[in-house]
Amino acid sequence: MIRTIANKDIKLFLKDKKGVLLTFLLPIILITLFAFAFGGIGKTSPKMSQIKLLVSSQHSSKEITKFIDDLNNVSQLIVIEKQVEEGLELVKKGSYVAQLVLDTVVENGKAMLKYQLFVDASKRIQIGFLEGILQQHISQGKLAGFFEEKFAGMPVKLKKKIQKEVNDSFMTSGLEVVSVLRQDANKDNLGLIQAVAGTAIMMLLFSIVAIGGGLLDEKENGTFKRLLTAPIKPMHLLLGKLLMSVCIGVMQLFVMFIFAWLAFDLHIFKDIPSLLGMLFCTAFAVSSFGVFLVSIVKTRAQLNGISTLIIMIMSALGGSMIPLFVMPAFMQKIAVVSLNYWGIQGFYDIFWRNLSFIDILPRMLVLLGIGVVMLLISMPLFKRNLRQLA
Amino acid sequence: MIQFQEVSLAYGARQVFENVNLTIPKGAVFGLLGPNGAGKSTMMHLLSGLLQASSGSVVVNGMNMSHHKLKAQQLIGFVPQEIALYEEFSAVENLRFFGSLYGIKGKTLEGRISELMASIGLESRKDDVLKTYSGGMKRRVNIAAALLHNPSVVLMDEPTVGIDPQSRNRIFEIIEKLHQQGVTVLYSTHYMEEVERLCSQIAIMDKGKILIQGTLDDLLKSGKKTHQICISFQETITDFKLKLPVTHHWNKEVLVLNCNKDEALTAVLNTLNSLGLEIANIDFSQPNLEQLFMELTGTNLRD
Repeated sequence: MIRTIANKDIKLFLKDKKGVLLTFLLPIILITLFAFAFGGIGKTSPKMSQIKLLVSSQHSSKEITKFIDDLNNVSQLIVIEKQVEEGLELVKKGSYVAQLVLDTVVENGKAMLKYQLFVDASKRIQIGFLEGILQQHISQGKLAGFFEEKFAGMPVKLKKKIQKEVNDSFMTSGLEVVSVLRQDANKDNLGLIQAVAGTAIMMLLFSIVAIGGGLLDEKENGTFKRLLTAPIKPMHLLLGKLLMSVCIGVMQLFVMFIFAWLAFDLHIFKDIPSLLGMLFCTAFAVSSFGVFLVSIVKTRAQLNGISTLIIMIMSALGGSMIPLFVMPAFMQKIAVVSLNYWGIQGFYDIFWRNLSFIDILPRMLVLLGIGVVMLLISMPLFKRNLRQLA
Repeated sequence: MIQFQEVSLAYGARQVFENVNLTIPKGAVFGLLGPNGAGKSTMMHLLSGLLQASSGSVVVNGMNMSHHKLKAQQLIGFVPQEIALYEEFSAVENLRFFGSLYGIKGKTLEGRISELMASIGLESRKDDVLKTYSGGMKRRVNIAAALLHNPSVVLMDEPTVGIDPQSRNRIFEIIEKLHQQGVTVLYSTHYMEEVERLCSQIAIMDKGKILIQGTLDDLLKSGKKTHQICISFQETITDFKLKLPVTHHWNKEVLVLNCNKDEALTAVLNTLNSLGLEIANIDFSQPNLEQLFMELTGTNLRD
């Protein structure tokens, strides 16, 4: 009897093709993503682990030019020369991980290079990696110069061996690491911002899909049919749903940030216009995504299957489930395809990078753009789907 | 007036409607009969704007549904087969919402809601959420939601399914009142007695085609004039396998014959007599709509 019951349930399970796909495909996709994020899978290509480093100098000198030339030969780095101010601005906006500023100072009557690394502290993993490379490169350079000067006659092989041992045991690079955050910057915990923004956006995605699913419930209980017989344009039904989703979305995000303020002391009121702008743009993009999903599915079961798959992938990729700053560089590059990425980065800009409204505007525009594109795609799909919905 | 002119509708390769022509005069209560899948709901959907004809034209009070859909929809009240209401809202909240879709606002809307709540007999329950209503009560609100904007055409798709006789009677009263007001009503149902009671004109349709159309008298005259004769016996019947010269079936212990009274009855009575069956009673019934319906649409089961 038990076997009969089990057989029946297996048959039913296998008949639900989407359910089967979800049972096996979703874990496979998530395992792959987590393996890439945490397990270092895919790091074999040297190109993939290269970091773009901005390099500037306060003035030009023979030593600085030589140092930059040597740096260009470091395989893990892509060196981009910029003016000091321009470079700092780019790092501050999160466009680059760091900028190395070189200067020459005179100590004990001797010209010495000074190294300052201005970093975007939200990219911890890459900074650590970069620091390691630079420290090694700088100290090796210093030591090579010293040996060249003091032990010119020593055999090259021996000189190199001693040089390496001294370097490994005693040398410090003198590399000074400076965060590009403003001096008046709030020192909110990056992990906290990540947790609040990441979770808020992921949860918003789930709730908006549930709201969008209301349209399918209306189909099932017949009210949608009644709405379609009223003298209103079908597209207004879709836009009405979008408007409601945006309102609920803004409220949901707002409540989550208020909670983060009350419970974890996240300073959410430091830039209210930017916060409101980001809340609206995120809610709009997420709502349009919900509307898009509702336009392509015909039943609630389909909606649940597809939305779970897409939301989990987007959240894993975009930094909601795994903080972007612990992901390898190439994963961070892929993250831009996710809606979560733009939302989380926007909230970083406000709470961590302390950027002005104008500086955050491009991220907001990207979110609005995503929303508009999703909506434009949804409209004809929804129109085509109307007969099934009725 | 409602006109279907050479209307066809296809879903891919499947032809659902083929060159349908139908005229429903202004102010008529028009009964639409047909087995499941005959195309009754499709006709309602074409009229309400839910579907668009592949070819031909659907015209409501002079407005072509293809060209002036929104204006035509303003003239139509649609009562769907399902109870298409929001269960979490009260009756008044539901009516307020559906009224606002037709541009009715403020005092006009509130006045209309009060009037309709009274006419469906639910004034005392108007603020209760719908999920606390019985099926019959919901059906009445379902109808009220279609009448808020005083439509000149009302489409009712099986509005009395699964309700008690009291609610059904109240719905009949509403329809009769609409008829008195000159509203055109298209009424689809499976219940013949409803059509016989309410409708001035009737059409029977099957497989996307109108099979017959006219007044009840016209329809009955056009049939084969088959009578139904019910014969009951003095003693208990044990052998139900009789060989008779006419179509017949047993209803418990009553023998039901479908035949022309003059031609076949004598032969049947002779057969029964020869078998020694003593007749207790014979009932004759006139040809009716159900017989005609079965005659036209057949006895095969439908999906």
